[in-house]
Amino acid sequence: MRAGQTYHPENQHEELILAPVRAISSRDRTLWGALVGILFIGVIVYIRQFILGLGVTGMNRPIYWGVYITNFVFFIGLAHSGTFISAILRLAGADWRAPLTRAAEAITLFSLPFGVASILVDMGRPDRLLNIILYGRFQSPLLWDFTAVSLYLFSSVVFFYLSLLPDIALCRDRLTHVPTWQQRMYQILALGWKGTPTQYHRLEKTLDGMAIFMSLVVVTVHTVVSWVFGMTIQPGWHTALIGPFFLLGAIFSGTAAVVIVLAILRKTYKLAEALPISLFNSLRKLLIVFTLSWLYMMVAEHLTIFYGNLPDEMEVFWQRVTGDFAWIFWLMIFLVFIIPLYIFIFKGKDSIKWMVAASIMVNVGMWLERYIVILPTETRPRLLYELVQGKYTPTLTEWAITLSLFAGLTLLYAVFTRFFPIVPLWETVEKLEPEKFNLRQRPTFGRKRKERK
Amino acid sequence: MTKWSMVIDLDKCVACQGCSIACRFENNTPIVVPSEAALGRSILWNEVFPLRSEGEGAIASDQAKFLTRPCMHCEDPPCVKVCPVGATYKDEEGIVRQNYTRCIGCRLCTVACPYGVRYFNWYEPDWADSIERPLNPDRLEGPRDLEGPSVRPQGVVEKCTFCIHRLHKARERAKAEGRDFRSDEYVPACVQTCTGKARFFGDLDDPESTVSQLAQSRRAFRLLEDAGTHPKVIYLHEG
Amino acid sequence: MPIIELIGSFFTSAGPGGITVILVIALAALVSFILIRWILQGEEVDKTRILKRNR
Repeated sequence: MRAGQTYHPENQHEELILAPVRAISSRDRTLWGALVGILFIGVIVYIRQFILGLGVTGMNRPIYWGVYITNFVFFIGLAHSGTFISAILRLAGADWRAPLTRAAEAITLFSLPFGVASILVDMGRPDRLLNIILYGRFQSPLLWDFTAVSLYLFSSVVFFYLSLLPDIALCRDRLTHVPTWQQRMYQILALGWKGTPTQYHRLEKTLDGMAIFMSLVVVTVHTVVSWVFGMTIQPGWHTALIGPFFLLGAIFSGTAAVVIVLAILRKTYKLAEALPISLFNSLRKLLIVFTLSWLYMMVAEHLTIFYGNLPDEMEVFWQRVTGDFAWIFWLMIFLVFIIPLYIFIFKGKDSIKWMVAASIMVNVGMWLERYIVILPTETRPRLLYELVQGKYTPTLTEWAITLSLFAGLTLLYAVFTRFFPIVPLWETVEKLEPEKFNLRQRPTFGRKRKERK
Repeated sequence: MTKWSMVIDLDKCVACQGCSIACRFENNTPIVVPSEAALGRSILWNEVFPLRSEGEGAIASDQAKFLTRPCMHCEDPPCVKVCPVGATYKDEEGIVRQNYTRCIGCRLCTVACPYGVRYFNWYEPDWADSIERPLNPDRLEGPRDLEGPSVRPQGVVEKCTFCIHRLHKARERAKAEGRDFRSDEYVPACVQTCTGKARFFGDLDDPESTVSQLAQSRRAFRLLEDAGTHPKVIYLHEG
Repeated sequence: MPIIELIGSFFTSAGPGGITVILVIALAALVSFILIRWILQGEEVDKTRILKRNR
C-alpha cells in the first residue's frame, strides 16, 4: 500500500453499486419535487393546526389520542427493521444479510425522525417541549419514551455513520466527476479514513459492540413505547403482554418494509446482481416465523381476555371484534396474517412480486393494528355512563400530515441513495482473503479466540 | 394535616345541574359551539350523568338515576403518576392541582384517568362574542404557575380544582384578620350552590367535620373502589 | 437563562427527570466520540505480524 493512499477492498460489484451515485436523473428531480411538494403541504397544514389548536383534528372526548399517536408507534416500529437486520442478525452471524444492512439501517435512520415528528404534531403545546428537560419527571412513561427514542436515534446515527465510513472514503476516491461541493462533503465526512488493517479491525470490533448495544436498545425502545399505554389502568391497554406484543409487531412490520425497499432499489438501480433473490428467500423465512409469532401474540392476548370475562375488558374486546372497530379488526387479520401467510408459504419463494405484495399488506395491516390497540380502549371507559360520544373520524388535517410524514421519509431515503452507495461495498467483498485484514467471517459468539492458520 | 374531601348525597341530589353551572361561571370554563359539543368536546369540570340502574355500566345501587361527578382528587392519582412535566401534582392538602403554564398538552393524564374527569382545550378558549361575559377575576398565579379560574391558553388540560382559589382567598382573609384558618371556612362553588343541599365539603382528617362523619355512613361508597386510586369524593347512595 | 433553570430543576423537581435524559445522551455522545477517534487512529502497526503470516 502506497503511503498516503487509502485502501479499499476489491468488490466485484463496485461499478454496479456505485452507478446510482454517479448521476442524478431528471426522473429523480421530478420525484423529489413531488415529495417536497407533499411535505410542504404537510407543513402548511401543521402550521394551521399550531395556530388554531388541535381542535382541527377529529379527536374529542374520550378519544384524546388518534391518528397521530398511531403514526408515532408505527414509525418507531418501522425503525426496528434496520436494527434487527444490521444488529441482531449480525450477532447471529447471518452473513447473507450483508448486502442489505445499509438499506435496512437507512429505513431506521430516516423513520425515527418522523416518529418524533408525529409526537410533536400531537402535542397541545409543542412550544413547551423544553419543559420535558427542565421539569421532566422520570416517574412518567413519557420520559422513558423520550430518553429511549433519543438514545436510539443518536446511536442509530453513529452506527450508520460508522458502517458508512469506508464507503464514504471510497466515494471520495472514486467519484471524481461529481460537483465540487459533493467531493468536499465526502472528504469531510470520510474523516481521513485510510483503510489500514488496524482501522478495519477496530471498526469491526466497534460494530460488534454496537450491535450488542443496539439490540438491547431496540428491545427497550419499543417496550417502553408500549408502556405509555400499558402503565395506565385502562382495559385493553393494561396487559403485561403489551411490551412483547409491540416489539414483535415492530420487527415484523420492519422486516416487511425492508422487503419492499429492497425490491424498489433492485429494480430502480438495477442492482439484481448485488441483491440476489436469495436475500428475499431468507427474508421470506423470517417473515413466516414473524407472522406465526404475531398470531401467537394475538391469540394469547385475546383468548386470555375472553376466557377471563372481566366486564371492563370484555367491553373493549367486543368493540374490537364485533363493535365499531370490527371492520378494521377483521381487515387487519386478513392483511397481516391470513393473506400474507398464504403468500409467504406458497407463493413467495423466488418471487419478488409476491413478496412485495404480501409485505405491503403487512405494513398497511400493522398500521391498522396500532389503531386497533389505541382506539377501542378509549371508546369504552370503565365508567360507561361517561361516554357522551365515542366516535372518531380523522380529519383532512390528520391525513395530510400523515401523508407528508411518509413523503418525508421517502424523500430522505431517495436522496440518500443518490449520494451514497446503498449496498455496503466494504462488507460485501468476495475477492479478499478475510484473514489478512481481520474482516468478519464468523459469528461473534462461538468464535475461537486463536485462529492463526 | 388537612385532607380535603367532598361527600355527595345522591338521595338529596335532584340533578338540577346547578353545580355544573356554578362551576362553569366560577372557573371561567369556556363554552363551545354546538358542533363541538356534538363531538363531545364540552368542558364540564363537574358533570351530571344519567345512569343506568342495571346492565352495563350500572352503578352499585338499584335506584340512583343520576350521578354528579367532580374530580375525585384521588389519594393515589394515576394522572399525577404519568405527567411527564409535573404540570399536575398533588399538594400537601390532598388537592390534585393543574398548572396551565407547564402543561405541554400530551394528554397522557387524560387517558390515564379512569374517571374521565379531565378535559382539553382544543381551541383558544372563547366566550360568546356579542356579550362581554363577566369573567371571574380570581386568579392563582405564580412566576411559572397558572392555576384555577385563570383564563387558560389553548392546548392545555384542565379539570376541577375544588375551587382552590377560594381556599387561597379564605386563607388570606384569615391571615389578614390575624386568626387561624378553620377548615369549614371554604367551600367550592358547587357545594355552595347545590339546591338540594346534597354536597358537603371539609377536612377528612378532622374527625369532627361533616365529611368525616358522613364518610362512615352505611350508604357511603366511592367510584371504582378497587382501582387503587383511593378517590376522595364519597357518595351516599339512595337509602 | 435556561442553563441555570436546568441546574435549578435538578434540585427542585420530584424525580431525576430531564437531567437523566441529558446524561444519557451526553454519555452516548462521549462514548461515540472516543470510539470514532480510536477507530481512526489505527495506523499500520506490527508489520512483522503480517509478514510472518504470509510466510
